[in-house]
Amino acid sequence: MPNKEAILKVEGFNVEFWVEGVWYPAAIDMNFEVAAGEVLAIVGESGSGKSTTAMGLMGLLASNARTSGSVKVKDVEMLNQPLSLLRKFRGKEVAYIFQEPMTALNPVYTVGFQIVEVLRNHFEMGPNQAKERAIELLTMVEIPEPERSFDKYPHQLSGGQRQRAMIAQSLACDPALPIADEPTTALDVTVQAEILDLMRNLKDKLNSAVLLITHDMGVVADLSDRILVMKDGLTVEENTSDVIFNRPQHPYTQSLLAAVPKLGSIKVRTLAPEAAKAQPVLEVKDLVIEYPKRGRIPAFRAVDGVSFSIQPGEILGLVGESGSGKTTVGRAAIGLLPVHSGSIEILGNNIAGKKLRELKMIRRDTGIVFQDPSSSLNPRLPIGESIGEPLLLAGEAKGEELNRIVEELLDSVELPRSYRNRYPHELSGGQKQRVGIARALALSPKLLIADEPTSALDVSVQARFLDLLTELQDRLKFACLFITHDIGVVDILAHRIAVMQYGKLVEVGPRDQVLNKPQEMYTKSLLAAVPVPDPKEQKKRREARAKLLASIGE
Amino acid sequence: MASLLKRKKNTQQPIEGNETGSSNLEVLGLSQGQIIRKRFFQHKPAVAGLIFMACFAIFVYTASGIHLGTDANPLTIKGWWQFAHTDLPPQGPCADGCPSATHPMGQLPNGRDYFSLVMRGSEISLMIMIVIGGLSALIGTVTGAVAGFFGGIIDSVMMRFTDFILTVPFILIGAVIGYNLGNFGVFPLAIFLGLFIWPGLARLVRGEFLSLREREFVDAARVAGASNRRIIFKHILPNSVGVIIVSTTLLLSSSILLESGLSYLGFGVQAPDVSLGALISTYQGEFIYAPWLFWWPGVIIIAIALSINFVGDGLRDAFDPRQRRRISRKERAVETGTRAQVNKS
Repeated sequence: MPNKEAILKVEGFNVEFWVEGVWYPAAIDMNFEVAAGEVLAIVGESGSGKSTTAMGLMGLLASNARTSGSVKVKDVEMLNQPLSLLRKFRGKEVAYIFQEPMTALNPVYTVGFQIVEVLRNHFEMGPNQAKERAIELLTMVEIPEPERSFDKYPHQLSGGQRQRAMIAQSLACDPALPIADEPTTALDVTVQAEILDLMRNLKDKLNSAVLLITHDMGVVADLSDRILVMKDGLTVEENTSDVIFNRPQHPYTQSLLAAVPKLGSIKVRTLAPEAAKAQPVLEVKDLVIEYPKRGRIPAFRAVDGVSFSIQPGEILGLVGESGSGKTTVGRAAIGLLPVHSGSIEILGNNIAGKKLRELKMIRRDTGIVFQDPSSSLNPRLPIGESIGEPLLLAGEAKGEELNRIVEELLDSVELPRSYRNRYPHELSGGQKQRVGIARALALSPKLLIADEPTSALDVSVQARFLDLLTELQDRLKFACLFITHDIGVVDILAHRIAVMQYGKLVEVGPRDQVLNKPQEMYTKSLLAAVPVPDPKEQKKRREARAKLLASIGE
Repeated sequence: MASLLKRKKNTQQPIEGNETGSSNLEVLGLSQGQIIRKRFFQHKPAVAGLIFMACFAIFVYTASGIHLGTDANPLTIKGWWQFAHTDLPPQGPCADGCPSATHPMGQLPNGRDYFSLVMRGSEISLMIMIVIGGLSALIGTVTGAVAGFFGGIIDSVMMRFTDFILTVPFILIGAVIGYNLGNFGVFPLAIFLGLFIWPGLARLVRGEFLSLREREFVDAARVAGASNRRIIFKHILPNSVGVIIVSTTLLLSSSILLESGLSYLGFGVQAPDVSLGALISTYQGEFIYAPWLFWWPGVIIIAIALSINFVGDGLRDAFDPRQRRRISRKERAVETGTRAQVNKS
């Protein structure tokens, strides 16, 4: 928008890291401007250099980085300037909103103290005056009971409230340029929708320029005016949101958009009729799981009276927000958590209350893929050994035969056989997750439990991973409990969908019914909160959601 | 951390782009062990310490020879040094026993060759160090691993026991044991000391196990049907090896100082045998008149303790990816590398 004054002007900006004797470029020749009242989104997959760029603008990079080019905030050069000058701008003119509100807020100070601190650093303000202003800010970001929240510690607030407090802190000095680095990635969809609404309102109210860093095309569609797509440190494409979403020029942008799962765009996956009548692979009845009380903290009922079943060859998508108990159900189903009451039957055998040793036979028929690929593989074991471990321990194969099966498994998850001697840190996130699948499928289980296997992956990697899983499932016909918070993913995979909230099952039904004609209010609000990667469509959905929420009176 | 992360990115990006395609693009990766070795050998003081220790051990053992068997029935391989530490050669040219060509470290008033005494003392000190270090590493690792892995009541009982050992003043224990058992020789003393200085290591290993057992790869191993023993030794222990090595090297150097302290108190090694600490305590009175009697063992103790600490430092830095080297101004001015160059490195 040339008619407005540019708050941030970046010209020929480079960031490089010193790695083992070579300067490795992380951002190359970036040029962009952000004007007042405008949102520029920098989009890219992990490793594309988007966060590095954002941190580099204000000299917040690690000591093994160097920057060159020009960064001007309100026509003052920022790059490689003395800290005393930067300090005047940080917080006051340029404010950061970070991804993890829990780690970005100091846990030993109250929220109010941290906001007051920012205010008194930059303005000559008495403590009472600063407190008044802080409460005003907390009210502005719509934190319930701002006077009481002022004296709360970060751990006493929910994730969404913490993110609001972070935003209040960032906006304390009415910054001309808030930089939001993945502001909603750690949040649930419904909370994300609220934070996005809040950010949009605040931007209009304060008329500031916003730099939004994200990998989520839905968030981008919701908030941004212009978009800059980055890949491997290079600017791939820069244009208005409308052009990027509807007429993307660069093939990379097109593939990025194509990889985003879109609700309701895929044809129904049907289940063979004879499978529906067979004995269920997994049958959960009135399952209750409690985390035992610790000291004065009472026992916590994470799962309360959940019942469902999975037929052979069926994929059941279990959806819920964080804290809904969905992961707990998955872990209990494979015997990793003790059951309080109710029953879990795998192929007709009840595993509730059984000891680990007694579960050994059932282990052969079940496999699990964990959420975090970097945590679920032993960093000191070559991946071939990780994959072969279930086979070895079940006494299925040894030596040469084990080698052969491991190679076959690597083939089936489309990893080169030469990778078997690699260590997990030498693999990318998507590859590690494939290793996780290969290990889970090593004993050809009849039931696979997938606990948010895609939440740590980029969209394009996620798309390939889901293709692979679908193909393997078509071939091997295992039943699958697919746990996720992302309704878009369930839409691609599942035959049936179960929705959980606060440890209870809200709704279970065939995919089409749950997604298109949801019966329960919670399912409806969950669906309405999912942003879609299309600015016009997203605007409509936003208005529809506002109407829906008004009708519930939330 | 950042440097390691960046390095990972470099090696990964070409793979990621090629994920579903054929595997003809081979990217040379480094295993954990190789990375650690490389980082260790970049740490110059650590390498210097390691080389010094190796050379010194060879020098000591070849000089005084190897002594096995009992006093009544000795089994000895003679070293290249002409005098044994019990020999009484005639007094050399220097009346006060100052260093000379035949006696490079001087002589005692009764004519004993000081070089052979220092070599014998070093031999004993090194043996004590290895026994104490090895024993305490074993006890500490196993205790910490079992307590940390099982948790609950096992953890409470074992850790209270550890606390109990920790509260016992082991210098005093060592002194008492040395007073009562010193005549049995140095080896039992080393073993008893080893039985008392493991609690620090046990606590560290326990802490490491407490956090590692919550990681998902442990659950994955459990789902695969692994027994507790397999999970402890095959899956968790290799991941906590950094902590174990580092605190063991620190134990090693402290055990040399501990032995010196005890010998200094007079409860360690008994005459006619010597250790470095015993030599210092005996001849500290001669500091003015025959300073070489004090300086030689003192300098050797300091050199051993320093080089072990350097090796420990190097190991800690090599295992800890958060350790980052500062970049020099010269490096800061280097031209930007091309992507191909980076991928090759």
